Amino acid sequence: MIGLEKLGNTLVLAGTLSGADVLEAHALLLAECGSPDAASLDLSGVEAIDTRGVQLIASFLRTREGNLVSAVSAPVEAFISRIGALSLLGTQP
Amino acid sequence: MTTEALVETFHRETDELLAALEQDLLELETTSDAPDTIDRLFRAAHTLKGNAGMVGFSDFVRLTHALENVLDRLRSRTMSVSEPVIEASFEALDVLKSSAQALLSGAPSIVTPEYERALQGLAALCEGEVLEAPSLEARLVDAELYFRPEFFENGEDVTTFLEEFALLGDVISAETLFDRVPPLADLAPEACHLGLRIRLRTTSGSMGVVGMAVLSVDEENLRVEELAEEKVEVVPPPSTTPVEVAPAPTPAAPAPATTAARAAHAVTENIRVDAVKLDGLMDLVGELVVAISQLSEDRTQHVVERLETLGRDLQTRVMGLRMLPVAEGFERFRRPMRDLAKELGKQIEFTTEGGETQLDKKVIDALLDPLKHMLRNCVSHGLEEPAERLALGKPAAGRVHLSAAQREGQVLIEISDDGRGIDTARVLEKARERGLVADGQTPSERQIYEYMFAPGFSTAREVSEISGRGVGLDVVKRALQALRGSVEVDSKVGKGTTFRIRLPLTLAIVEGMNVRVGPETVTIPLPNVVELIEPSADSIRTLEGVHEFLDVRGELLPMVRLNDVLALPKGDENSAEARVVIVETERRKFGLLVDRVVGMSQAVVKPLDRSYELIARMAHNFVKPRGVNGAAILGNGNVGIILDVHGLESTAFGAT
Repeated sequence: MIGLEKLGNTLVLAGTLSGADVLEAHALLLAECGSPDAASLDLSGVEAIDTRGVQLIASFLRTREGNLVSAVSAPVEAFISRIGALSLLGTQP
Repeated sequence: MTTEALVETFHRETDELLAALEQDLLELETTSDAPDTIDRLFRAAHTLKGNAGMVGFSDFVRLTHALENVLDRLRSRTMSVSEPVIEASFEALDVLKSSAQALLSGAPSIVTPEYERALQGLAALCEGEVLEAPSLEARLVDAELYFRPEFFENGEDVTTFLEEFALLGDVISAETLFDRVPPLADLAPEACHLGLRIRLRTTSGSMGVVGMAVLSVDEENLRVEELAEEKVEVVPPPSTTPVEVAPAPTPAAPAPATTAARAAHAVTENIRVDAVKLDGLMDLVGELVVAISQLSEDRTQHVVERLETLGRDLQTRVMGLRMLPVAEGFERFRRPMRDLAKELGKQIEFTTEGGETQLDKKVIDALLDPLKHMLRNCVSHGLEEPAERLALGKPAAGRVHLSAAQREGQVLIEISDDGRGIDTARVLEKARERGLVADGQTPSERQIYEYMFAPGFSTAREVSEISGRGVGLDVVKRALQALRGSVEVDSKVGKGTTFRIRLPLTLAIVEGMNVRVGPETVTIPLPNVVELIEPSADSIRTLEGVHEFLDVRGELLPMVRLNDVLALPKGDENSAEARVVIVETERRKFGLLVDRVVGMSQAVVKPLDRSYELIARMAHNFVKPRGVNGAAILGNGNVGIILDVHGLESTAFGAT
């Protein structure tokens, strides 16, 4: 189950970003990314994520070039660290 | 995946890859300009090499590498297909087959004189290029790869992929690559657009990495490079991010001998199952669970009937999981047929048909030897020499055709040739010499063919290694009978011979007639049952005070009391319910006197080795006689005996 809320110019994702929920999250983000002021992504409410979820974030960032991931939850950080994807967060090794 | 699991996967895939290599080499031999075949051969050799590297079988890698070199030259047309190339490739293939077996049984080394000869044979084709065995010292390897789009759909994930890589050695760094991920509007969220850059230290070297990666990555999306240690010091790979990788239990790939020893006896028998069959099964189990839950609320006839239907469907589908197309088994004959024809100086055109026909895996496995015997017979006895054929107006290449088809709940397999046919006069002469035919008896054509299946029977004037010792058709017949099958022959002199084999679809279920004999229920397989007779006092006659016969509409049929041959306590054979079940084998029709008929059923056969003790306990003083095929769980939950009519016939009337 995934939820998307827009707070100011930040898109806040909450719930699970894995399994079939990635499809729903894709649809939600696709609808929102047309909004010109959707500048950053807050993942602090994401409880679980898998590789497809990480790919979705990468796709969002590609779509809205220059946007940032403003916050992440501990499970998200642990997972993207595990697969060597910290560059998504703008974190340098 | 554990190391043991990797080794098991290696052996399983090696069998399939070697079989595919053999088929493609045979194809290449007949159609030398076949780029697709050469590509397939190269890919198979390449995958074999990678798989072997992954588990540290370096000598296996060396030989597959040499084969791959030759195939690569064929692919790039710097070498052309020729007899020496084909022969050297077959030689290498045979050594790889025996090497795989040796590794499976835990052999410490596969380097034999044959191995060296095969290696040199391939090297000679490549202008004497010397092929060094890969070093087992740990090396640094950089790999950059992009997964196949279906990576996620196949249940794979970058984390599990990294865990598997960790089995190869020390993963120093890994970085997920996003440069091929499209923008949201173009993203197919279920497809994989990711890549991975990975550096590891492994004894498997680049070949081990390739072997691991090719399972999830197309060749064109894979770049692997072995690095010298000093190169690593000076030029670190770009944007490499140190990461935590799931446990790396083994610092390096295990030494081959240790791995092989652990793998010995560890490979289990596997059946590849069509995913559609599994989906159907899953649906059915789901329905079953729902029906069972309904039972707690509603025990009406409707729910019980539904459960019965589901139970039957479930049984049918589970049985279906064992059913495999016979094609794979058929294709295994192509190479031995080619070799045999070459050895005998004959030419053959071997064709197959109906490979999609499905049979129980156990039946297929048990059928291979009998079929091999019969096919060898066709080539060695049936087909004429090319010159003789040409003189007879036939094509120089003799035709041997192997076909399979389903007919009336059975599988019909035919082996036919267009050779010289069976000389019935010669068979009869031999049969008389061996005392198989009584003086003055004039056997029918069918009976004459039957003599060929007698133990030790042969009409060959010279004994050769291939045939002529009379060891063959009797073994074939016994093997087929053990499969509850039969074989018959049809032949025309000068035109050819056809062997027709009939087999049940599965050995696990038998349709049978349940009869009561003393205290036991016995299942007589339905294919053997001809009819049921209610005996009258004057229809049973005794000859010489011993043998009993039943008069069936004027025909006297031998009759046996089933309790006698099965050593079961006597029941009430004189009751009004007593019946004679007329059964038939290829040799004779005879009657079985039973106490009463219970009905028809489908029995699930339980092998006797496991259930024998149970039967022995169940039936006091029960001694396993010939004529018992196995045990069955009956509808009421009791254990019954399944009759082996052929074995019973031998017990009651002797072997012939």
